[in-house]
Amino acid sequence: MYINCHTHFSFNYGVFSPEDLVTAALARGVSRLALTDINNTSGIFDFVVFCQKAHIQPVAGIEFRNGFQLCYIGVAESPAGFEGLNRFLTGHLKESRPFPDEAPEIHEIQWIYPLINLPKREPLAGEWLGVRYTELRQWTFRKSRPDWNLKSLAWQAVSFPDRQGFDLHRLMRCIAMNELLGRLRPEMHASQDEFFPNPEEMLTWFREAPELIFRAEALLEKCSFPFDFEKPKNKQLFSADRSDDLELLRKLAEDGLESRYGRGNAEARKRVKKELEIVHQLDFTAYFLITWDIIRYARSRGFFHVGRGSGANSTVAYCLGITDVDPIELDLYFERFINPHRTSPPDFDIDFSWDEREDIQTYIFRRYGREHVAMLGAYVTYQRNSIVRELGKVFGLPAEEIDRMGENPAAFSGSQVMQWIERFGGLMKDKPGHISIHAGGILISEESLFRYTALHFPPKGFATTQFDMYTAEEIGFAKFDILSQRGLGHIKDSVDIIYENKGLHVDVHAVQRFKQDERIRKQIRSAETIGCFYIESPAMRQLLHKLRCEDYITLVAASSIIRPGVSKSGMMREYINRFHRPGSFRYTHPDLEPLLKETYGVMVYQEDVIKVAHHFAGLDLADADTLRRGMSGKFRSKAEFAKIREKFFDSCARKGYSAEVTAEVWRQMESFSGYSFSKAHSASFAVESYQSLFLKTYYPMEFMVAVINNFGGFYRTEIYVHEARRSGARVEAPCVNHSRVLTRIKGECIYLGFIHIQGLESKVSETIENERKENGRFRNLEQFLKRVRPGLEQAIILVRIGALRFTNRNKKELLWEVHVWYNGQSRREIPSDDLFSANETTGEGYAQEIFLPELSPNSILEDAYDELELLGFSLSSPFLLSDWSQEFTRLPKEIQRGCEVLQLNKGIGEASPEVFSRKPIESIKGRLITDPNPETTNELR
Amino acid sequence: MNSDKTEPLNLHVPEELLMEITAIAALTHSCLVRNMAAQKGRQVCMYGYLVTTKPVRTIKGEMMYFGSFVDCEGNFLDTVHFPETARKFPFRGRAVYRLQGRIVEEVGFMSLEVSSMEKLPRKADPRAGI
Repeated sequence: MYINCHTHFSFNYGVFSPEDLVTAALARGVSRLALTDINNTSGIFDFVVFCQKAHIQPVAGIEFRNGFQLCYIGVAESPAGFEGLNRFLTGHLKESRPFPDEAPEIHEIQWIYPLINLPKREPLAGEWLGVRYTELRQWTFRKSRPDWNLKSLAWQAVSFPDRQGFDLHRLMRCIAMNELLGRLRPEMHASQDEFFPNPEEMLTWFREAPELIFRAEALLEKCSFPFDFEKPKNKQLFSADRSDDLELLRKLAEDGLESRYGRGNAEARKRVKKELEIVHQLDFTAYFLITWDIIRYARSRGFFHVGRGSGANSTVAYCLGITDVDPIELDLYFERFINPHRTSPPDFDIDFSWDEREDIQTYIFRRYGREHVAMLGAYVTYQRNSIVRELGKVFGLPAEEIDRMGENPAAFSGSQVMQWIERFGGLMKDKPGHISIHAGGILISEESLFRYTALHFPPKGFATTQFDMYTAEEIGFAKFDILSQRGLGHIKDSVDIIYENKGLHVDVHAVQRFKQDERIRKQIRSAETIGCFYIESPAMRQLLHKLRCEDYITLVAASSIIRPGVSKSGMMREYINRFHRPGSFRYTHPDLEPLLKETYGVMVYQEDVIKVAHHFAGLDLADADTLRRGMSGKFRSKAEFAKIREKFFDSCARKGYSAEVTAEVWRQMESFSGYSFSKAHSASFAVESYQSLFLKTYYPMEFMVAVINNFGGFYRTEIYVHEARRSGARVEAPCVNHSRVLTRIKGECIYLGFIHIQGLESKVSETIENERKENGRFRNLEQFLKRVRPGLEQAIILVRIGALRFTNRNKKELLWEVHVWYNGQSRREIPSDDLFSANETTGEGYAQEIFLPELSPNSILEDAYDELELLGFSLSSPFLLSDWSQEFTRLPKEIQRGCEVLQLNKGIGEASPEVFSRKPIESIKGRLITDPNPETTNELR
Repeated sequence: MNSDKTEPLNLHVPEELLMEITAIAALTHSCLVRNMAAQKGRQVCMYGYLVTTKPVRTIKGEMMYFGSFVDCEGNFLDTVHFPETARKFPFRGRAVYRLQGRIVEEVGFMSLEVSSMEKLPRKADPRAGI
């Protein structure tokens, strides 16, 4: 009779989690119930799992609503029915169409209508009228629709556990409807009696018409949802059959063996052979081939990629070119990626450049079929800040007060509203507020995805599952992570820029050579890594410095040590100390030495948790892996994690470790592993860092231009401009005869791109670049205005940033001329090409004919302010822009006097050209302020 | 310095140039990044243009910061601002700051433990009033 239960996946409506719902059912002795979330199927598999554990019969369904209007409830008789429901829901979500008044005819689905939306016709097979007990009287006396009498059944919606749950439900409805609590209308929320009654209560309520209960129960009884969680759901074949797949993978691996390891590397050959056996045995052959296919497509388009994550533990993946990490060199275990005991499926993480990823995704969707490919969903859950913000609005607080409440909750601790927020916020925390999209996960399925989920379509438009990665894993999917990354863009762009500027083809894939390169070693050792992927932040540069890092292996460790877990727990400092004095420390327990020798007893990689849990504490590998995942917060249920923790402590006690030692080891595991990288992952990052480093070491200027053009680095553009100057480049303001939309380099001169000019329309930027490409340089101002037609406002911006300095006129003159030009135009009303064609061949300037008052050139300071305003930073030193008068008075008296006298003795004639020169000056002293070079300025916030 | 040479000269000096000279004097009198190792352990005054800050919460829940600056020669300077200093001398946006504090070394890495800090004002915008 429980044909219509909701969980919190009826977003901002249901209060139960799937687990809570099943627990409540079990407590009431309920033997079967249907989960019918509103326009959603996210919770189905969780629900099924918990039902199976509780020996309750799960039934899958969907409640269809347009806004808050209930249309009907669809309950699946079978997996095929569930597929039909998903298809129907997806069609409407995709086109944002409202659901029709009458449910569609789909096989193996039972439909339940509410009284208010009962079709004005006879019921079809599988159609029912749901009657609430509060509607019984109304139903008994209605004689107009006797045809539905025998098709009526008892309908009790279940949305919350109790009175407090009802209050929470109403608050969440306010959030969904964006209403104040006082203005929430009854039709916007569920009625108060949608709690979970036990069967006896139901029988009492319906005692006048018990047949309604029997019908509801009979309906559920004929529905079933058998599901094989173990069976792999991924696409099973790449070619036509299993043996062909295996042959193909073997062939590709053997080809790769030779190119990666040379001929006759017995160790590598042995390892590849072993891996292939496991891959085949566990049915991941197609999974490897599909990944290879994606990479192959990317190569054909000239895209760069990085394969990382646990996939980098595989030598086969290395041979296939999926990853660039050599697992043998780093002593990485394949079993970390795939093994029969691992409780989680493998996944390949492949990064593409931020501007190329969509192309790859589109390929995957087209190549593997629309019904078989989907992005993974993710839930956005309520957290402290969003709770305060949303509930604050519901309680009618003004926005400023909500902000203050978020920043400093303590100041509001006494208030009534804050008490409510605390009380209900606690209940809301971690509940999903809406569904979104996972960063990069893609599923490629054997059967239609509608067997598992309805699909939704976030703004970007790719079909997305309604469940998240945990559910995907639970039901037997191994995902592909296709991620977007900024670092790759700058590596690839560097290669293009170097070719354009120097005519050289550089090979950024010769990573083995880079690792041996003396100049690159020196570059890391001096921590000159600004702009380099993953190792450019001040914290990382400090760490590299302290570790005297100069090789790949240390860089791999550094990439993991820098993660918040290790650094926060104080183990980063400890690691550095031990690194410098390997004999100076003692292991927490001697048994840890063989496990953690490589990292001086410090747990650095994810693998370390597994090693310690397995070898030190004696858990089996599956438990150790569950523990590692639990440590990262990736667990389904807290109870499960608590159980493993208990196992860990019990097992340690059995092995005779003291309670203190066990607790300390646990603490160390706990403090770092939430953030830790696997070693393979660190290693993949380090490969990319090396590619960056190579470019920065040998082509620093071109490299920095590529970094500037990719945006999104750790530092702001200003700092990268500064860094380009440090490597010897001259940086010029945008110039209409040299610059492009993006920043470019000619020889050692960098011309900032038009894209950096705030307020300049992209249309104007593009016109300048294209027009110059087609018809050559601009010869004078009027030619420029005529060919580009920027309009007065845009022309002024270009003058002010100095982009028209090729005219050899100063800014004030140019401004005057531009104004005169546009005034003249407006007087003649239409700016047509004919009007000026007479002048075009001679190049005679229009403005040259006009009277021009004498206007002085801008001072450097005026230019600096223009740049500050239009670029966000000035091309002169920020030290030039600062007011030093106060500092002067802080100097010792004799220095003040000495300065005044001695410096001034030199006279203005000598001092000024040097002091004001915009050219780089070699002498250290001269560089102080005058050099436009070192630093750059920015506006004060 | 010879006393007979300290007679002020009666030259007309533009305001702007005087400012550059005072800046050079202040900067040369302060510590530069390349000299930090030699000044290890000492109290110094440094001038730096703010690059980035990283807030960190201490175990006691107080906010402290790691700062990154460039000096007038363009070299990077790392700073530490413990909670008390951070409270008394907050960062006030992108600008040149006078930083006073002690140079500390940790495994060969030099940083400035800031004890006081002040933002230098910017010169008046000469375009104002146009």
